[in-house]
Amino acid sequence: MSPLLSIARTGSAAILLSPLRSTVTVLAVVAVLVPYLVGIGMVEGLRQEARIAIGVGTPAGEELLPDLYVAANQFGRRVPIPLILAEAIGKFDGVTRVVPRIVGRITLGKDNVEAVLVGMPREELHRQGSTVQQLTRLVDGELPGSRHGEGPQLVIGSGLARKLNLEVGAVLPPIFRSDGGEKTPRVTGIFQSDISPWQSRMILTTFESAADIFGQQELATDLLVFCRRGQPEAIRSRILQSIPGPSTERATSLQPSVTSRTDLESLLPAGLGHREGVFNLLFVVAFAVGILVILVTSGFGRSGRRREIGVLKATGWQTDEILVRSLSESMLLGLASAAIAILVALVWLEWLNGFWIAGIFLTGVETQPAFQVPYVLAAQPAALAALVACLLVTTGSAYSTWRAAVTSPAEAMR
Amino acid sequence: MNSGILEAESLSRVYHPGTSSEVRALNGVSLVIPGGGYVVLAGPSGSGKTTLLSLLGALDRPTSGHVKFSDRKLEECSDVELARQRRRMGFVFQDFSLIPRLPVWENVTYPQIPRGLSAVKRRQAADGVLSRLGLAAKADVPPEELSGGEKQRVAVARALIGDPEVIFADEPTSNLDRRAATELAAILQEINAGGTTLVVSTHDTLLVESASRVFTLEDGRLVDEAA
Repeated sequence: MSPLLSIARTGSAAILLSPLRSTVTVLAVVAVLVPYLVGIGMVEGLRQEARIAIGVGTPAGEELLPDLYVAANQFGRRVPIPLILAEAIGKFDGVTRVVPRIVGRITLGKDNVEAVLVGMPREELHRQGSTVQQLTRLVDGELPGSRHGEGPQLVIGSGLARKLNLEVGAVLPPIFRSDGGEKTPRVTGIFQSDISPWQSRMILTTFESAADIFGQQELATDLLVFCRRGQPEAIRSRILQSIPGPSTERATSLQPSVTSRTDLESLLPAGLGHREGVFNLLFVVAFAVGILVILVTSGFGRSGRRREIGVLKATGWQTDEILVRSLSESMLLGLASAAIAILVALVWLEWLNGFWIAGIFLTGVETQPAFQVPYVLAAQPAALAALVACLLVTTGSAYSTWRAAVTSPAEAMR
Repeated sequence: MNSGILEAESLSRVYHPGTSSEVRALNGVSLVIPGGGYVVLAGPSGSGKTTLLSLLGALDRPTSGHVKFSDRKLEECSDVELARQRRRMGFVFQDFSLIPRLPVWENVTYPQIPRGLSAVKRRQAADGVLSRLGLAAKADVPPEELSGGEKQRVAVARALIGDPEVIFADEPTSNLDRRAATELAAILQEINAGGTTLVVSTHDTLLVESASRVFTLEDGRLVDEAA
């Protein structure tokens, strides 16, 4: 066996020879790595969810997802868009359909629980193969608008259901008045918990009910424009050039804003990259603190370790051989720490569903998330964690080992 | 001065020089240790025996003076060369200095690891030395399970494993009961009889009586030399 390999093998034995020091070191590294892995894992999970939601990779004109999102601006601010524009855009060549949508914030219950109310046309909710249709496969109960002639029907997120103690069939206190008098909304469905965080506090209803709830008739917050293959860019230009036009006089002061799916794809990395950047910044701080922690923890049994190095030198070990032994020990400790950290992060995200930690990283999420926290533990951050763990342990222990190794054996053993 | 395997010339060692806690542990000591001899460094506690032993055994560097080992001046050696010189020596420490939790046979052969010997060969070598010292049955137990006398014999086995030219022993019987001390004295005599030079620091009369030469130290100075 080569001398180097023999020395390296003593590094693994050294881990067991100092169990307290090894345990404290591993715990310190795991404490630094787990929040990073969980944070990055959730960012990746959110990125994946967002990519699915905006249909990254779906060719334009595939009918499953809108190709263009049209909103209106006035005085430089986002304002509701009149439905009359939907009719105008629907007549453009290459446009297959235009779906008006209402997305707004409301508060419910005596605790003013915030929720996002989404209203879509009834026929869109029930269209075979539509995005909403795909999404509603995850619903317990039935879709809004399944029964005619009844009051507003709502499908609510599991987070809301839990918070407000609502079940399918529950009647909400009147939340609006209309010309027809007071209307009592009924919960017809609840999103299952294993869906994305966006739906945890979402209320889905028909366009008409949403318009009633917000008291805004003939208006939408945005229009979803579906185009034929290869047409979206031309239609986008046409919308920007000809809206508002002669047939839309009532909306002459509005400026359309058109966002294509490609725009959303390019915005996605920027938004999540910012969050990722915050994690990375936090991690740099944690890394610096980690080195200090390891320096302190390497003090556990330091006198014993120093003495041990003195004995090794007294019995003929060279300084470089002692450093190789220490390096091997640090690498193994680092790899073990990284493996444990990855395992803990996995358990925390998968089995504990990001209990407590998801609330730290994701705004507005409760201690016990009501939805399946999305995560992807990719190879790259896992490899980075292993590298960082090795660096942490090596950096933390290198100085004390080197000091002991270059000291005379008599001094080290004193 | 006759030539020996080890020679010390005007050897001084000052700890924390130039500070209020300065200690002159050794002051101008010169001596010659003949090859194959059994030399005892005697003297009361704090007389400089351990310091002299450390300097002779290349475990420390003198503040001034020279140590020659087989005609090579140790203060001129690089760190790597000093390590090579130490491989020609063996050490038995007062507190045994065994590595906790490591089985006896591994403790004994730890100095041989950087030489790239396989575990099988190291085990064979350890078994040979441990049998010679009556510890064959203890090869697989950690030092924590041994008595003081057994630990010191393991330390002797570790010193012997590299077939050294000189063995240094620092107060080897001070932590042992009388019976264990007598056994150890016999072992050291047997090792010396095999041609290995022994340098022992002690004030134990049992070991002093066995020596072929006794150097007595007091306050860091050599005050007597007796054959």
